[in-house]
Amino acid sequence: MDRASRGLPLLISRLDKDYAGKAGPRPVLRGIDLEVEAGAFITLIGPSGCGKSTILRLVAGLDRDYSGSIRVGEAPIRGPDLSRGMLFQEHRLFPWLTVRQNVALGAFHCGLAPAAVDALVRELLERVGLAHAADLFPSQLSGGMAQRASIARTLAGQPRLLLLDEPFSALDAFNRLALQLELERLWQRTGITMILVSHDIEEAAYLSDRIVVLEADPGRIRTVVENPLPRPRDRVSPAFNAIKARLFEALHVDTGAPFAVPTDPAPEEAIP
Amino acid sequence: MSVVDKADAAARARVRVERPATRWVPAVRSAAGEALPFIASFVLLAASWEAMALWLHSPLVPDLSAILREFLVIGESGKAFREIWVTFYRMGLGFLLAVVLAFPIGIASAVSRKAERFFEPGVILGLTVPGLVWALLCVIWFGVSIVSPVIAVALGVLPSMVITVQQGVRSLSADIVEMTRVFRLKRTTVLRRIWIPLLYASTISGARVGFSIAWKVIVLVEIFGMSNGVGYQLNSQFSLQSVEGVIAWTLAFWLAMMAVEYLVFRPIEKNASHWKKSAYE
Repeated sequence: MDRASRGLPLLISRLDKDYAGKAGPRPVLRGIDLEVEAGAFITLIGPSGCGKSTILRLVAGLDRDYSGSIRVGEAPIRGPDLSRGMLFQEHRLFPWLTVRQNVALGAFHCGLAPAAVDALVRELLERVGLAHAADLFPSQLSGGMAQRASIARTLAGQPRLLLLDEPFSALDAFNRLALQLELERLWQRTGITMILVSHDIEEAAYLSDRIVVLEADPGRIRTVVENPLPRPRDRVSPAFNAIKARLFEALHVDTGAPFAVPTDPAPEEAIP
Repeated sequence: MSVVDKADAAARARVRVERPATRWVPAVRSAAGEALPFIASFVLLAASWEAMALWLHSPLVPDLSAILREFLVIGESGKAFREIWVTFYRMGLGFLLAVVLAFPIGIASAVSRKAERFFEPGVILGLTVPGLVWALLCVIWFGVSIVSPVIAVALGVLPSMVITVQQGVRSLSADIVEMTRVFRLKRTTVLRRIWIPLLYASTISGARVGFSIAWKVIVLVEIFGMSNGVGYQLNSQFSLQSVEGVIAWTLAFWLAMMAVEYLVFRPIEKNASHWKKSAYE
């Protein structure tokens, strides 16, 4: 399959979602309209409680209680499907299975012959740099290795849309940078549509073509920041920082940058 | 390979170079360190017993040589092996019955609130009732047949096994269950790849506790209603007022239980929970 036809487009229109609460239903998402073309990389960013993870769960088919329409490719969503891979903050590997067995389970529903599964697993482990760790158990892996194994397991299902729910936020800074780079390469090579949920402004600016900024109570789209910077992106270039500044502004975060400092000396009580 | 992995590999290579040439020295030292407290407690126990025997000079506290003599007598004649085998056979059957019943009950009470409420009074009753009561009732109901010890042991072990299975099932996190949905695994695959490994690992330690409960019940059944087995032998030594006989039989059975622990339960547990082990242990 060539790069362009690999990704699936996503179309969300007039999506509303409530959670049942003690005092009646609580609105979580209101009027979400989102169009993601095949092979794009977008990031959903926003404060906690803005429902960004909920959007991923709905697209994944893990939760089917919503109103509005979600379309992935041509088919309507009827529960989870391997064409929509999901990665979580925790690696969620099966602890009593080896890395190899975990990855093989990811390919379970593809109906491949055992030999083909073996070959696929070997190729995927090679690709994520875990060929030497195939027979280790998850408890023997470092955080970065476990998340790589989890990526390989999800890729084993041959997804055409990847839903990434803060997959790197529990990792240390070095592993986070390394995996961001690897994810970008994977995306460029395969053309899988990527939808990332993140708290990390730099991650969003580095990886995505478009950043959807959400606000909370109820979750709505506040603004969309286009990010046309050429790749590979330079994290310390002025253009990159301009994107970050726009995101900080959209999220109403005070960066402490010179333009934000008042002309009068700061009052005493502002210093923590 | 990322930068981090390279740094890691370099660190490992450095460690390998710095390792001392005589690698067996720390191994021997750690083995001695593990065995020493064990030997010390054993020697202290034997010495205090011997001192007490010398001091009291009473047939109620036989000295070590008398106990050892009795121990060799029952060992040499093969009697100890026959009787311990009989006892283990009865225990094993009762224990298996308990395990077979504990799985459906434990799984049901883990997944359903109603089932839990239904079985809870029975489990608590089972935990409170002393093994003595099961032994007496079973001997009264089933007489001297094999049924008595099997049922009594099963009743004694069942409550704790049910709790073990229930907690094992509950230890499966919702995240893992969700992953079986994400990957659309078949029911049979979920059973084979998720439930069986999990229950195998989580029930094996419960099984060890259950086996020691089984011993406490079987000895009573054999005292009241059987004409052989370790319990019967203990009782007949008791009626002869032979303290060394009682102690020798207890020692023999203790050794047999140690063998089961180290030859059966420890290897199974190691096999069942090998995935919990860290590479850096």
